[in-house]
Amino acid sequence: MIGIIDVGVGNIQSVKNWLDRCIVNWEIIDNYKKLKNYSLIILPGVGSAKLFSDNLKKYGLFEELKKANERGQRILGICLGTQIFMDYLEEDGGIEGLGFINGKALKLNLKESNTCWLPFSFNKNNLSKDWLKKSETTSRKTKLSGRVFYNHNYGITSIDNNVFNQKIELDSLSSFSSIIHKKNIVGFQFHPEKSQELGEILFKMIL
Amino acid sequence: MILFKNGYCYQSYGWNLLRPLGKLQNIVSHLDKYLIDDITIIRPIRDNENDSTLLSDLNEIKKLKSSTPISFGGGIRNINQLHLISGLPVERFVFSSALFNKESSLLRAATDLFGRQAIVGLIPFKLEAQVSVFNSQINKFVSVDKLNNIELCDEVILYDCESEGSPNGFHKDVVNKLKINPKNCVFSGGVSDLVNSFINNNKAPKALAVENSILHREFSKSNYYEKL
Amino acid sequence: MKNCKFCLYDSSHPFGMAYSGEKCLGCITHKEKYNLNWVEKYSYLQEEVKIAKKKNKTYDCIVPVTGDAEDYFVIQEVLRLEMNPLVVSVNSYFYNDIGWTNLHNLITHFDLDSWVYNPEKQTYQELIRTSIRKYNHMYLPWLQLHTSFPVHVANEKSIPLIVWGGNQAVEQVGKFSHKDSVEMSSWSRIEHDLFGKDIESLIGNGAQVNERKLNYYHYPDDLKKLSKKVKGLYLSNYLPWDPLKQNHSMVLKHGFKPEANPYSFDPYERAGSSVYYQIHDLLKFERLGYRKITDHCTREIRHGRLTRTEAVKIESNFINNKINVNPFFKWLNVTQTGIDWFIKHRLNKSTHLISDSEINYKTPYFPNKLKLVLSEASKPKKQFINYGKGV
Repeated sequence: MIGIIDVGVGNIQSVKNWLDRCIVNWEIIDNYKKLKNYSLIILPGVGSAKLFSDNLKKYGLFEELKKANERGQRILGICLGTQIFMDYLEEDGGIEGLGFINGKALKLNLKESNTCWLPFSFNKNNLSKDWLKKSETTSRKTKLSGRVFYNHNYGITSIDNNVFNQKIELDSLSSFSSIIHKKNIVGFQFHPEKSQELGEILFKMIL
Repeated sequence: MILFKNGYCYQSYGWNLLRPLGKLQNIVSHLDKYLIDDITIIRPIRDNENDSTLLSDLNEIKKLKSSTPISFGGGIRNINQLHLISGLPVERFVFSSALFNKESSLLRAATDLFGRQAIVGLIPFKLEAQVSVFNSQINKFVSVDKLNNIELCDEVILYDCESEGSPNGFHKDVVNKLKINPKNCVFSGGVSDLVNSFINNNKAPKALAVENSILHREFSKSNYYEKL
Repeated sequence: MKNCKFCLYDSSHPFGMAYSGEKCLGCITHKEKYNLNWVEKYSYLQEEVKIAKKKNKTYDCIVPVTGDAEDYFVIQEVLRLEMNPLVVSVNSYFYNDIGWTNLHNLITHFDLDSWVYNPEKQTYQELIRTSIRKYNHMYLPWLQLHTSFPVHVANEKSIPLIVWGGNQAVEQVGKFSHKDSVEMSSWSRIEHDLFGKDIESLIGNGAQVNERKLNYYHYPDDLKKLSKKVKGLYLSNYLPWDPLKQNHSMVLKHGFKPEANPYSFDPYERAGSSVYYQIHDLLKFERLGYRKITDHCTREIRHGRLTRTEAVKIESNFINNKINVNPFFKWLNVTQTGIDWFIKHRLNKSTHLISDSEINYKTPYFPNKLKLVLSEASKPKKQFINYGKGV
């Protein structure tokens, strides 16, 4: 069973619709103590980093997610949900992240947000054994390419050598990551739930 | 761009006639299949309306299933209404009459809730001797100097009311008159044949919002990509 | 509910209706016909034909037909454009003797290549039963096939054009301007031909059918590829469309056989059907509150052959004419208990239209302008003629 974390910040409905299109079983995690029951935890996040972080703490999820990571449970982040995996988020005056990945979420070097479709390619062989051995997918696809949708003001950077770190395919943003992955953690900066058919194929590949 | 009101969609050109278009989910499902980059759903609300129209329309938006980014707006005029839109399957919110408010509390509250990247301004305009811009809350075109809070918008849609429905009538001069950087703008109203003119052009906008005439033939989006 | 002061439509029309003052959008858009440069519009059609002819070495276009008078007109125009058409028809299993005569005559008189698709009858009937149960609409399964099978053939054989007749969303309610030249598309099919109800809405919790038998009920999947290969055009975008006048000319010119119609003055539209003016019209009245006669009267008001007063009078002569539903339900293998249940539980507004007896054919008074375009017509000898798997 896949669990979606809902702390009242972000577009959960789109994520639910996305999982329905992928024809997978999911439920909203309504009790933070039951996190260990899920084969995959999805952490979507959109909006203000401070509000997101505060709500994670308010619902007891901040610490429970750390425990889930220690147990080696697979956790998938989307957008702000990926940024919170870092040690530090620059937004809203500076926020402590979950620290799953050695890195930061910093302001993009753009005047406005990065809201656009950009090219994207992915090879499943870049996923770790920790992730793949728990995989439930029946998809045999290992590579894909196409385009994905970004909508963010802050981006993820990491200097951790143990991390799979794929860059955004745009020269002005090439210091920021489109995907970040370490052991049981995968984070997308873009929105797979709004990346049309590629978003569904990608999820089925990594599920 | 789609107009949506009282649970039904209307053609996004020829506003005065309010030509019916069809059911929202059917339209959105097909725009998904046509791999459109973004769907902008606007409620054409004039003056002040009673809340029951808003609630029933929001219920329809809430049920919407789409794999394409959606921008939605129209009739969100006070902070109390922001909580009504927070659970919607929508990426960005479009504000129009809020750009005429003297204070910025609505847009700031929306930024806190949804993030700055989710705030889009909509400025319908006419360009005659002078530019005038449409304030939907008073249902009138007014002078440009009544505009406020544009800097709080991540992106601005400039809608040419006189050129809507035409293939190439958009008045590109408007960005100079409004002193807005075209790179933060989406041009709409008379843009469908303008793609060529914006290739390798440093005055090109961020995007073009085509009217629902994109539904007039199968997968007509490929016509635009072929030009690019 | 808003009524147009000029025609007989109101805002309940299923395509949606808009008004400017007291006039509906259908009437406003109809007026465009008198101000458009039709020579220029026809030249756009000729351009499309020129492009299509370069693409395929066999057929230039597909013409989906039922054997209706409009189909005769479309074929006439397609041949005038010197195209080589493939005629494609879906057997509805609803033809009477006039219907079969007209379909055969269409193919032989014009000497055309033709394909007739005979859907598997058991599945088809199960879908019709579900369609009636769920939506009070018996025509949906055939509409799904009629608007999809020709597209599959065009796609599979790379035939670049599909030529349809009138765009009803423009002709009836002016949903689009004539200047938009709207083409056939997957969206338009669901919105206007199927009223939002594709085959998916009939299966699952509905019809118990083998999905392997539903191929042609589904529109082709890959719309991007389809759009590069096939285009669906409506002739009414390129010609000043006047169905009654056009259809009338098909009788003498091409031997079309009109059918005496107890439910309308129009003996051409869907002549030869055992259901169109009967059970289908009954259910239309049940769902929407009006019948085909209203469409015909509105059309003729706009074309100047009836005044509104005359139209109201003519409509009243036909709108309460009774229908015998038993032959249809017998064809559908529904028992008398089932028929009684249906009448009791699914009909509210239209029970007064049900009759078991023979239908009376009246000939009310028609104004001269209308009479000039009405031909002598015959009564059918037998309804629901099934030649097994057709021809």
